[in-house]
Amino acid sequence: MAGHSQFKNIMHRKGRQDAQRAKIFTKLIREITTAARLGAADPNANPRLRAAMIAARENNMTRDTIDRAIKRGSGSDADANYDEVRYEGYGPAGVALIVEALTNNRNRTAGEVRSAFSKFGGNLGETNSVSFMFDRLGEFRFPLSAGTADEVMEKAIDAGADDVSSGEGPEGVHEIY
Amino acid sequence: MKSLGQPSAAKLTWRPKTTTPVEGEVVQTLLDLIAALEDNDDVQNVYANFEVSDDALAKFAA
Repeated sequence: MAGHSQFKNIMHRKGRQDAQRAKIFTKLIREITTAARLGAADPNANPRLRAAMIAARENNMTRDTIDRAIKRGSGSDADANYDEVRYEGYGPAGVALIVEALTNNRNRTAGEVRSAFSKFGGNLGETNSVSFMFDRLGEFRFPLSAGTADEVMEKAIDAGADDVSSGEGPEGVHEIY
Repeated sequence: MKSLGQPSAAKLTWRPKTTTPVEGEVVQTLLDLIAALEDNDDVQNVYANFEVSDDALAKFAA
């Protein structure tokens, strides 16, 4: 078994996991920074920031990292200026795709997104060519401990929700639209 | 809704009104495309309206 050390396996796997984690963090930080830039730096007065922070916590981001991201957005650093853009297009087999991006360089992102589409047999369409096939909805996720499916459904509808779906198992969540 | 306690996540999403069934080889290409898009640092979210059977998804996600 020459050259088959257990450590090498672990090293490669860990490297890949770390890289994925870093990717997710980059995205979460960018969202927090943008939310803090557009609104107040106080999550109680800024729903978008609050949502971004909840998402960050869900992915085990540390308090420190979150605070730093907020500071970067609310300060006057020029490098934290991200634009929100939406790309719409069709993938293979006519599947509709919506891509939401935050970018500091629209031209670069548009090129990268377009090349990804064409590489895998899709094509990037005009804005609104696809989004009419989707509903823009708020989604709330609650842990299953919040109540049984029936209880959650009843309360959600009382509050004006359109739809509720409840998952099963340990990872299950109540999704309310 | 408040009576349910704190949500674990709250966000705006795009939910498809209709879905497109996908099967066979195309599933792999589609998943590769979504992965490639998500790999981009600028991209925040990718939404798609495809519908794949659980069996096919398990085969390709592995």
